[in-house]
Amino acid sequence: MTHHIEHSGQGVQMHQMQAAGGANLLTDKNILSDCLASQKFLAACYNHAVTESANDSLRRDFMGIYQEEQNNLKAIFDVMTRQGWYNLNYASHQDIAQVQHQFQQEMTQGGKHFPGQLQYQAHAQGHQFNQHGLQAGQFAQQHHPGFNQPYRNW
Amino acid sequence: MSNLTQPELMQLREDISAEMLMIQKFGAYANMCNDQQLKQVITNVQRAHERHRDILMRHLMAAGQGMM
Repeated sequence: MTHHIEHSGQGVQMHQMQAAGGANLLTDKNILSDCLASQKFLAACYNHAVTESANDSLRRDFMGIYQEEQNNLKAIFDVMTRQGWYNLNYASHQDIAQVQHQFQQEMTQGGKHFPGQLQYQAHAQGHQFNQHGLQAGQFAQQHHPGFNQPYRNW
Repeated sequence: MSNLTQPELMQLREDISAEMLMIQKFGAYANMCNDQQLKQVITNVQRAHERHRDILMRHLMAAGQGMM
């Protein structure tokens, strides 16, 4: 493969690759990755378009196109996953437990009650963060200073 | 007969432009791909972009009429 740089009349730099057999400059993975990025961009555009729409008919069409762009995004993602090109970064049980505990803590503080609270408390009692040998609330206080706020009474 | 606001007109302009670029790009990508399955997926999405462009063009062309 040879690589040389040409300058066109307008002073624009152009790269020319001369590969045997005319190989692509982009791999299939590059191509799909760019398609994925394009869909993300379009989904964001249409999400914004919906917020800007005063007209019902136009809004409905923007919403419909938005949904299709999201579905197309997923389709490309699925293809990439099938090819083994996408690595999902799963959260650890510990990280999940920490966040669960954070909000259970926040929601039960100050004696304020909210609908369905009892089921959250029951869930918290038998739950995994107790394995770490910490008292309920202790873990949160270690890692979230200034965290103790009364539950907001909406 | 539809009255377009300025933001709506801006959105139509940006989104139709974007869709037209995507039609070109996805078309080029489908050509470049050697794998049949990938080609098919890319072509399907390209067709979706063509439909989107048509929907938005209809709104654009219907706008500003009957307002004289």
